[in-house]
Amino acid sequence: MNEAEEAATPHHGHIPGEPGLWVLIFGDLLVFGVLFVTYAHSFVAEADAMRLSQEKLGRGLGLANTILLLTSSWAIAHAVNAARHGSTKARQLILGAIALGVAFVGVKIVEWGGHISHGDTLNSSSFFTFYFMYTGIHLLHVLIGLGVLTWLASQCDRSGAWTGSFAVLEGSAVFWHLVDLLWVMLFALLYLLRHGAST
Amino acid sequence: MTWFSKRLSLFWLLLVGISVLSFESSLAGSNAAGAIVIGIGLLKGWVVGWEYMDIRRAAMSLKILFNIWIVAVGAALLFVLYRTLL
Repeated sequence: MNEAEEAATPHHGHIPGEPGLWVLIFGDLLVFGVLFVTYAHSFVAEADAMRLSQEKLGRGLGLANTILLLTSSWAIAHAVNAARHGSTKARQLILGAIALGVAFVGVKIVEWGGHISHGDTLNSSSFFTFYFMYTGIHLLHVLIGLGVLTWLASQCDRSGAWTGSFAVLEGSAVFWHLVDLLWVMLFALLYLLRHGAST
Repeated sequence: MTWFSKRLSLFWLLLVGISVLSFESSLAGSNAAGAIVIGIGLLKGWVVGWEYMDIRRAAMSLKILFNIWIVAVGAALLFVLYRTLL
């Protein structure tokens, strides 16, 4: 790393965003941790019924959404780095992250629509109760995140450079990464974990 | 491209690669495959937190809390899923 990069890079011990934000982040992680374990408990207790419903999930759509969110996270991490260096690519990267997030919502709508049209709803089985509740809570996070990212894009000047508070940009990016982190766990538990794990 | 940008891109490649790997390994449906799926999910979550959320350069308290969350969730999930085998 050269001197210019060193100067533009936060030192060790730096807290990304505002310290208060991390109370929200860890609170969310704690709640989702409990949700994950609750799901695992039912996965074992109602193994056969859960397996039958789980087999109806489109695993490919889950993988596609994982790649969309990982790439969106990558774009927003680059946007923070671009802003750190005063680059005019910040807005372009934020808009890219938004587009990928919107694509995630689109895939989720297609997926939910397919299940609902086949009669699999919130009340049809334990698995689908977990599925719609957990992915619904996560989708709410995605929509909040997209609202925040849209606001971030408006804080760039006409050249595309970041002009707002750096702590706000970092904090918003941290929230978007949290959305990604929670999704990779939901993908593992809801889409990939198979019945064999509990026998 | 700065070293930091390259690092972000390398971790993106790693995350996408292990997502595909976990997708394939889950098809086996065995005890080991289930543990691998959980392990890979947590590893991906850890990489997102450590690299993208920049926890690796954050205050020690943040690093400790985050690592405790990863370990606690992993231990709880594996215990609940495999306690019948104990």
